[in-house]
Amino acid sequence: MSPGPDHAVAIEGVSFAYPARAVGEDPVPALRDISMTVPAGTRLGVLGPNGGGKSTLVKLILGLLEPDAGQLSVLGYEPAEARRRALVGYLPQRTTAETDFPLSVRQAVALPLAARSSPLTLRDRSAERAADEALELVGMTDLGNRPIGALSGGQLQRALIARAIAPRPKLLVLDEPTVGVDAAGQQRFADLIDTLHDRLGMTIITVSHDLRAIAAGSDRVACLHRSVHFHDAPRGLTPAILAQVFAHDVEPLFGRLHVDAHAAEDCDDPSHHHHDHGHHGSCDHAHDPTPDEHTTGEDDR
Amino acid sequence: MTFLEQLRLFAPGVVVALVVALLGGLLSVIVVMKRLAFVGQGVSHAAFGGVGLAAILGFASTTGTDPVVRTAIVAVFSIGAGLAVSHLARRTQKRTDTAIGIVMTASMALGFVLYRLAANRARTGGAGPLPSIEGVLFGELLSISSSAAWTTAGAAALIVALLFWHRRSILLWSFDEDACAPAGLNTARIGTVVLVLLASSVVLAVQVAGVVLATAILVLPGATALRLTRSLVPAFVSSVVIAVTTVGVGIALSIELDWPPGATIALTQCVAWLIAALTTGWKR
Repeated sequence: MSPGPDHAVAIEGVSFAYPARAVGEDPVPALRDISMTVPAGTRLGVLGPNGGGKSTLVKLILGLLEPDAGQLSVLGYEPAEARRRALVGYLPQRTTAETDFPLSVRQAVALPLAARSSPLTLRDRSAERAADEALELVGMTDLGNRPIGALSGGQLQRALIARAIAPRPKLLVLDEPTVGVDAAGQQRFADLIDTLHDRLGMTIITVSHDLRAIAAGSDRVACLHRSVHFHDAPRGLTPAILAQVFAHDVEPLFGRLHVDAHAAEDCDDPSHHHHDHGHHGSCDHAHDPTPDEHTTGEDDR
Repeated sequence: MTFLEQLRLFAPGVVVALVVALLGGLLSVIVVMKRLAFVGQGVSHAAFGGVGLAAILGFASTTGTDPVVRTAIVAVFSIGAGLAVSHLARRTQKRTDTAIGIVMTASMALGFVLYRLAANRARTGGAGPLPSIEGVLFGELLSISSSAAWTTAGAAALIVALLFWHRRSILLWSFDEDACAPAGLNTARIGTVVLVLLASSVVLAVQVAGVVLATAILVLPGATALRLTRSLVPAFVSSVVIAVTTVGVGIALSIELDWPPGATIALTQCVAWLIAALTTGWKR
């Protein structure tokens, strides 16, 4: 077991800027002084506009980028070390997999695990078993022998989730999991994540610009736009907060999110949040009063 | 001379061709799936630079240890070119084709200049003749020495062993490169391993089919096999069977018809692909 089981992810004062694109230009800031902790076994939704630093945050948690300042700890390890130990499962936004590769679904799911085993074992039965269990968890047992290229889009996504959970990671990171998925598919996806969370008890971080993806399966929500603000989800999320988070986005997206925000409000107890917090200009004034539940990135202004 | 006598005479070349066929059978599945055909093409043309370098350094004879030293120089040159391509491609936002275009033409131009300088020196200094340009371009199977054959077999055994050792990470890298890092693997390292193994195999294949045709052996068997099956083990097995068969048939045809062996092997592999393409439906 890894040390520090109470926090799956601990981020303290992390900043990151991409290098300047040309000589004489400034570095491109992506994240500014982010602090948050994700308790083990919880589900965190990270909501933010495109360009708000979500992908950067994911890459930092996976240890694919190094922060310019601050500390990250993933399951008690440096992020890259946690990744090397296969403690972190990752579902990318768009798969880069060559789907007409000559692999069965089961082989594709087992491959990352098998690639870590000794080259001298001709057949990695433990990886095969783990793949079968993962396929069972996502409800794809009967499709294990199909060629990976014969799956529909939704089935492929489930296979990729099976691939991510086959090593039984302690943390699962989902990057924009519902982009291009229809409403019914989104519901199935939310149910699947619920099932995985209940049965495996892993920490799940879902990153999205789409409130529906976040609201369905998150215990808490962090609003991310360069800096971060925390809320119990979805209760603390009001249209005003969303407006704040998405303030720099273009009109059409803003309009669409407004609709989403009302939908989220309807799902929740609508009685007071809007009025209580609707006029606050800043996200971090808007959440409820129990301070220990909200590790707050300090104000971004 | 009877067919068998000729075959015995060409035994070292036949051994090299079959060994290269085995390598091509294994690697071509990866080359096709990972779209490395043009990389292979670039590396094989870069081998021409190595040939020129070997010639100017004086390792020009077709007998003794010269062919082995020459192959070693060509190998170092080609692997270096391959690494230069991957470095350039990283620097220029993954424009691998441009990087290959630059490295390939640079090494071919350099190779030809060096070759001409060596040829002039040989003419005025009375040294032995250089390997023919035609042989370098299209293969010189029949002049392969037995020392070259042994070296090739040894190098091929090493390549196969390394392929076997890294097989699962290479498969994952070919299937989904971006999944390597989250799986805890070193993506760049796998890419380099594949590049070095591919470049080494290209160098061995250049002996059989020359810098122009060597890619055929490292593309066509896999392309043919993948038309016949979409399962992992059958794809590799049938690719190896197709490679060895087409190379064998190609050599036999070249002896029977007195056609140049490298080109005949390449044509045989093309015909095999064509048959597979026509029988499995053109559009697939």
